[in-house]
Amino acid sequence: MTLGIVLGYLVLVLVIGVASHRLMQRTGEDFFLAGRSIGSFVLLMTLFGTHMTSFALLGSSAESYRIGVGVFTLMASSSALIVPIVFFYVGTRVWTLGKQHGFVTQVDLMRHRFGSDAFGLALFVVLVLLMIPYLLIGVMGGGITLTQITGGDVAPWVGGLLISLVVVSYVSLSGLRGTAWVNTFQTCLFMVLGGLTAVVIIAKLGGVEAAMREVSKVAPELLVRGDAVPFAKVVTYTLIPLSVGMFPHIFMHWLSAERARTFKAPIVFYPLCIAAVWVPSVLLGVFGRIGFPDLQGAETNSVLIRMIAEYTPGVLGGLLGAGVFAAIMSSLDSQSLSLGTMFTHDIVEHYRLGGQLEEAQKVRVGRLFVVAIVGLTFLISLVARPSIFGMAVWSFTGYASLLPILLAALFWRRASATGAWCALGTVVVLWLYFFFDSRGVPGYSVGGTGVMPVAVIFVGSTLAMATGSLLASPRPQRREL
Amino acid sequence: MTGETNVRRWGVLGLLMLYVLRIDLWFWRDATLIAGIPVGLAYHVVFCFLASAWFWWMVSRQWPERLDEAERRAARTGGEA
Repeated sequence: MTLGIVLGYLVLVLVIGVASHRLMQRTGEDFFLAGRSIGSFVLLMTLFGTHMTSFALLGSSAESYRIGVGVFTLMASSSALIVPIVFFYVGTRVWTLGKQHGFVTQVDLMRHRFGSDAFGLALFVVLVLLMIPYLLIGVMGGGITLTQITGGDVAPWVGGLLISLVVVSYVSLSGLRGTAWVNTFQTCLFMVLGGLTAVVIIAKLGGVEAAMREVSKVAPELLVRGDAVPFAKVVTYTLIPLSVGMFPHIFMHWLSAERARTFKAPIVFYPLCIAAVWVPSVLLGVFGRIGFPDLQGAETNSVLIRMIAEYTPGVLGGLLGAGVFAAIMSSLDSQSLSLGTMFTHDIVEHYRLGGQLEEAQKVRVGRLFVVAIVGLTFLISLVARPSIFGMAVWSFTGYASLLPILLAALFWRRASATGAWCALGTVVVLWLYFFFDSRGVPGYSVGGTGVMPVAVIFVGSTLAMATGSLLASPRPQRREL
Repeated sequence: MTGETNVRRWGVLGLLMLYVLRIDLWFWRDATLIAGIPVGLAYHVVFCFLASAWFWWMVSRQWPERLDEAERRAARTGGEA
């Protein structure tokens, strides 16, 4: 029955996505940016749903299982503060420039601003490579979810394949318009079902206070931040949510907004939405120590789903599992579409591969790339076994560290292509260095100080951008925006 | 202009204050339960509400004039700001 409910949900999502295909105007701008017509509520829901991945449900509960309530301090409240700030100062500026210049992607904006085709190409490669682990956690999350809620009857690859096929179908048919509508539906669903999951399971555990007292007997360290969350880590973790400023899929949604004031609702309500999703996940992760005390390594990724399977009966378990799928797909769709948009616009159209493209051809190319990238991610998911939380943080680290380039492009007239190249090179070198240095080191920090690598890379990127720009000739590299 | 500058200053100060408040060292090792929830988590939930209230103030009092101008221009020219 559980499997039936989840499959029924996937069919429903497909129907919504396909139905919105009828509203599509069959132009590149409509497929890739929904004709720049998205309103306030849909923008809030689609931005939030896109941002909340399996990281926010499976990853957060896995991490709270390991280190306790401190994960909310690390990620949730920092995102509640930083993300709206980025929307307010950066998102609105990007929207305005998108309207003025017709920009479709970040690479578009950067190429125009810095007058460098080669830089645009290099940035494209880096943005796509950083997205792969982000896509991967979605497909993996789908596999974990379906396996656990069916008690192991369904192999992980089946869940990953199902999720990939559904996402590819409605994204390639309806583009951003379908994605936005499906996201709105899915975001409402996973917020409601996430809360319901917590209420039902906590009731079965005897209430919050009783469950927390039980945890205090078996793992009291989970109730405090203490040594699990060092001060330096909390301060430097604040930089991680800055990644939202460089996520290709978030950028795409910004450009799709109907008006500037459409951003007001996302800015105001984001912190509340984050609390609504993260509090249940963090609590359930902590309570997972009661029923499943011995989970190790990648097993912790499944603690939320194990709780659902253990404590909620068939129909409810199916609905709650569908809620987790909703959260996963609401990110996977936008991420894959943004890559399709970038490939079509920044590579195929820009370099005129295959000559001048008709509108229908642009849409077709975008669709093919979505299929290819999701397919590739699915194949990688068959062999990858990392921590969802850990992998996501490395992706976020890369995107956050690229933000100084965008900030300089938008707000500093002296910023030049030389500075942008220096910054990009710094990010690539330092990211690779810290990534390989961290292998096999749980809770890795720079020199064991508690400082997150993102802090060093972000500062390095900023200094490189500034130094490169100041040392370069002030013209003719840059253009005003 | 003085009034607008003051509003901007308050906006930035408010954000800095929120950043400082977020690092609640005073509850770091406190395992007290508030309605069954550890105080370290309850505090941050309240923080999210506080942040939301502050952002409401910012979009009400600090919404950039240039954005409204960009919208009006877009409406006049049929989409291009």
